[in-house]
Amino acid sequence: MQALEVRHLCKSFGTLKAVDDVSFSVSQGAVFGLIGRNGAGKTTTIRMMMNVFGPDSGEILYHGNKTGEEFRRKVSYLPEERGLYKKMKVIDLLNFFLEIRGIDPAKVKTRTHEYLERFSLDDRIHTRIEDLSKGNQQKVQFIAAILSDPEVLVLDEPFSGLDPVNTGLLKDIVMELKQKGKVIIFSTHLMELAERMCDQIALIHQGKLMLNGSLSDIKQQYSQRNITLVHEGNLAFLTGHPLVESVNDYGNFTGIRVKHANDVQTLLQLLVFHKIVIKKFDANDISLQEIFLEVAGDNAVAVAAPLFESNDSALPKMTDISE
Amino acid sequence: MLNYRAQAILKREIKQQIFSKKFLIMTLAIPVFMLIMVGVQVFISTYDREELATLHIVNESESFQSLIRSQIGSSEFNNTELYRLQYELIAAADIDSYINQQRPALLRGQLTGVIFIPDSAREDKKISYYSSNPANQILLGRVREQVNSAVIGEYFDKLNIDPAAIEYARTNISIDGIRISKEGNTTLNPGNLVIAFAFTFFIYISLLSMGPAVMAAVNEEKTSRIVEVLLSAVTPQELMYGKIMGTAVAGLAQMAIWISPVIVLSLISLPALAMMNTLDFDISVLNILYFLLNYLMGLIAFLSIFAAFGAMFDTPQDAQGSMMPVTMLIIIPFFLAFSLVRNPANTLAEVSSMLPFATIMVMPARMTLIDVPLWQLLVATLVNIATIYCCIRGGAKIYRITILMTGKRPSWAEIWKWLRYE
Repeated sequence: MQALEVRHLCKSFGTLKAVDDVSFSVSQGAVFGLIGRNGAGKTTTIRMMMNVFGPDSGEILYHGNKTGEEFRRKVSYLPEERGLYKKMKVIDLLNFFLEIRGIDPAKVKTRTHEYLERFSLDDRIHTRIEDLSKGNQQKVQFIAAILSDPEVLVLDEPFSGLDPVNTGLLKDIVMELKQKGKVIIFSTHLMELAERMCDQIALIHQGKLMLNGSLSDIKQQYSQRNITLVHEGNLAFLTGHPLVESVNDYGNFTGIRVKHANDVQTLLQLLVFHKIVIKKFDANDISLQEIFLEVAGDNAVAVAAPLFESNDSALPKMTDISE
Repeated sequence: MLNYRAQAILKREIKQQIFSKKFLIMTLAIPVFMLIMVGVQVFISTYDREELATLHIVNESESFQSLIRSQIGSSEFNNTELYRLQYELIAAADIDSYINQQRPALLRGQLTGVIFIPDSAREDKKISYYSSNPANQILLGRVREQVNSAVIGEYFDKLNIDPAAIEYARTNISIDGIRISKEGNTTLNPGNLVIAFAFTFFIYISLLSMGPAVMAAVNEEKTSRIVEVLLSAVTPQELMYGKIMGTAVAGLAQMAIWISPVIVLSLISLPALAMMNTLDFDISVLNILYFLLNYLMGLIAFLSIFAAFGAMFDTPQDAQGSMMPVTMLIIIPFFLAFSLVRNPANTLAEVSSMLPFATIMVMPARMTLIDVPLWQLLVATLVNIATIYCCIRGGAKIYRITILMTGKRPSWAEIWKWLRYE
């Protein structure tokens, strides 16, 4: 059974449909990435999952039960827009966040100090939040989110504004929590990070769920007929070529999609014939960033549409966005 | 209503309020400020009465002069030692030149004034006062009283009337204000006026400081987005109740500190105080209990409104800009309470002491001055409870709807719409 299920969530603000019939599920012990562009509806979805406000329709189930009072104790949340009580001392603030979840701070004192030590904040315990640097404030907020040892941890853009060392530390802790069998959901627009950390993803675009499933399944699906190319030379001859469906320059590499699976060899010959220096030719490979740009980029409709031709039932669920 | 989550909020709020510098300063500064205000008033009134003055008292004839001199000499006027008097004999025709001669001293202030009492004053009771400040009412009052006494005394002496009869005629009516209460009759203690003033002032100051404090705290949570984390753990109602109750407890503690002298003095009568007539007052324990309960209820009602305003607006400035109607609910009762000090039994005082919001300040002041019937206290309490109910319900609705809402300032029409949401 899935640990957390989101079923047909809808939420409108005035005339804007912020979230439109979004459903997905998260397995126990999985890291779930909620990806999408700014304003796609990620935060609204998370807020509904967190009970910050209710959905217009739809429901959220935790182990098969509708989330309610009990769920509030088991879940912890790091919102995207960071905020802390500026006048409070670090330790008082952490204890307060434990208390609102019904946990006696005295009982988890050791854990509190362990985390503060790991984040090199153990000498700032009695410092007021306003006297901490922005990065340190963010670390305090992250500790506040995980200190209650929640079963479900929801992190909205957890890595924004962190230096590489702290990003690594945060990632390590998320992975530890995953090992402990926690349900971890995080939203991000950093595709590289999502690709490295997530087992499952859901991609939301303009309030609608575009992709949902395990990252490997999705990548396998999208990588068909796709070639990742690192090269030197001019590829202009490929534009409009009868074999080629699309060519996308991503700077470091170029993504090429051919019309038929058996055209890959022909494409390689074609490149050699045109004296292109090939440094890397990776057939049937695709980065999450490419998938993201295909599905949620400005040219998303044109690129994504042909992919619906396949009727493989193992395909990740997709929603038509051409309306 | 207050589960562990709301309790955690409440605990934090009390800590934040009570251990803040502002709380400490307010708690200490307000009584000091009141003492200074009373002190300044006392100083001004004594300063008024006791001003050093140098006077020349000018007569035309020696006989009239000796009459005036003996009258003044036997009066309190002379005993204050604040008046330096010099008696002169000048003919009516020479008075102008005498004044001219004294003009520099009069202008420099070395000489406060010249009182010219012509012989004709025996008939027409008209005298003249020359001074750079002839409007000094206190001095004139004293002079008038003495000269009049002297002239009347001489007049009745000639008529051979019994001095006792003259004394009787001179004695003015004296009124003793006697307060009727169930327990019996007591004279109205001027101390109670001071207490009524203090009670009103304390409630006024407290509401005007606690209300905006809670508004700013709610607004801070909204703008810094802490509220998002909080709402993942607590419901909006729990958050609002916790904040309000926490602030109310802090407010009650502050109020108890402020009125602690009154509480102590009402329970034990210090002999030292009996000597200080003006500070004597008569306050029952019921009075104090009602005062604190009434204050707590009023505070909770106002805090709900202020919390809702804090939630509605994106910045404290926006919120303050729209607070006028709410502030009026505090300011108008404040002036009502003050006006009733003149006559605590008038209809306006009686009615307003049982009106929502007004009762919070008017009733404590009123019951300090007169015996308020028990049924009126009960009505006022019920009105307070109903007010709290409406304010908390309405406040919680607006709070829940607006705490996550950002963007344009809400209009009164929108607020009204939200209030009617189920």
